[in-house]
Amino acid sequence: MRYLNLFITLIKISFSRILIYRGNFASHATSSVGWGIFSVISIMLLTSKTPVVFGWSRNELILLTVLMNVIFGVYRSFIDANFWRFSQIIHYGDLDIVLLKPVDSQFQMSLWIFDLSSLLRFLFASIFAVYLIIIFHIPVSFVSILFFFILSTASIILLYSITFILLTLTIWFTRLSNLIDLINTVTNASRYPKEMFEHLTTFVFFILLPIVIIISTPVKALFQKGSLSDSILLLAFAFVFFSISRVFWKFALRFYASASG
Amino acid sequence: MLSAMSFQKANMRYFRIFFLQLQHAIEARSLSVVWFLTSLTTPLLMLIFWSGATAAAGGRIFSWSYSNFATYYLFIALASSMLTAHIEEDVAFEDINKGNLSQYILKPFPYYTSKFLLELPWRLFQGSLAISGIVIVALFFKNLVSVTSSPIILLLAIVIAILAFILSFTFKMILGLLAFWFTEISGVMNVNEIIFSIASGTLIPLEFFPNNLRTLFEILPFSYMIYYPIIAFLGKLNTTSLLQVILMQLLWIFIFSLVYKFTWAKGRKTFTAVGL
Repeated sequence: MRYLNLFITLIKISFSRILIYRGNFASHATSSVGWGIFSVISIMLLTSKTPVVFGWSRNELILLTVLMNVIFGVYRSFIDANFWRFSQIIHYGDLDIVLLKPVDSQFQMSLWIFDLSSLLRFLFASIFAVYLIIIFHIPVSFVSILFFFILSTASIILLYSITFILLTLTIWFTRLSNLIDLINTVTNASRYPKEMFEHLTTFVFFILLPIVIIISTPVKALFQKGSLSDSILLLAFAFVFFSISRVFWKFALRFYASASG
Repeated sequence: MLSAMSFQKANMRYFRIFFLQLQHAIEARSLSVVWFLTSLTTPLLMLIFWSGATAAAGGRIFSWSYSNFATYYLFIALASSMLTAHIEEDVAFEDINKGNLSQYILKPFPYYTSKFLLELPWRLFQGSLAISGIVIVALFFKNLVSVTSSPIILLLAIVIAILAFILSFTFKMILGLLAFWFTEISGVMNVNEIIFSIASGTLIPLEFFPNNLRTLFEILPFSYMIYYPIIAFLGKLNTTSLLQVILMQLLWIFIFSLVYKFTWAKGRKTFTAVGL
């Protein structure tokens, strides 16, 4: 309850920041929506000469990308903004202030600031997704929509956990301020269907597996083409990786030496 | 004789700045490795995509085989590391917004030259990582990487690559200088990234676009930063076409130089920093 009240207060502060810095909000919103549109345009360009790729039709791939923007819109709004300042907090010793507060440090590092401009990306993507589902005649049901929301939540938790685990490494490697760029680029692999990676070597495929099921599993559930094994795998990964992120963070804090380290 | 000595002294200073910054780039090599891996990831994903797309299309798309795509995207990774300047954020956020520009104004070097000498070592270091990667791939997969064997075309391709970097650098400097007038320019930078990804051929080769769009991209400067240097090295252009590319690059460098001079002159008058 305490953390929920804190979360709501932080959202209100973020909303106040939007009203104060309206120009910044407009700029970020334009960027966010622009990237969403770019991702759709890029998949349309990539599939302009090949109507079917890896068993996915062009329409399905476009819808996969749009639904990726729905999920990423929520992720970027509430979580991603915190990760951009993650390495800075550790490198400049500001983690001291975080650790001194009577609030869980992982909560502070993950859910302290919000980029509500990305909610516009979520909103436009959602509207566009509904439109595409209608014109492409994709059969959906109430149950498939419910599964989509449940699996999308698991996807966001999994994406958050993978990113958090990798960023925790900056406690040892404080100079890697650009690690978040690499992580965001690698997690972009989630916008492509899982089948695209299946013909890679087994080793590489299993390394990438947690990432590639992030988007395609909820989307397949929405299309009523999902498999139970993929859904269970996603839920299991979300639970396991979140647990690892928690344990690893607590372990890493023992090695934190502030700005003088 | 005095002016010759001054010229030599100035050159020595520039070399010194360059080598000091190269030292810094090598010392912070972990950053460079991460940047290199970041620039490698998207081309690799594209390669995986095209492996399925070409297989689904019967082995070729628009006369491009999978090995053509592989070579193209490997060189995209090289071009992104070596030819694309990333100076705009430094200029906008560190120099103008935070006021560090005052230290450059006080120095006896043009701001453009100072930033050029700061950026060049990073491009060379990351480029060397990319070249090493391509050499390793070429050794293991002999048919996957093929560059032109003609010495004249290779020489012209190197000239195009150098001009591509200068063009990219000048353009990014202008982008960064917009911070003189806009406190928040990340939106402009992101829009530039989107247009650049499409118009430079980073996303897909320009041959895949409809003719009217392709003509537009051939007029814009972005294709001369990435696409044309790559296909020059791949030997897809004859000598006449290469000379035309060089001419267009020189034209765009001239235009951007004028825009930079104007932007710098106007922007300096609006700049304020603590203590100034």
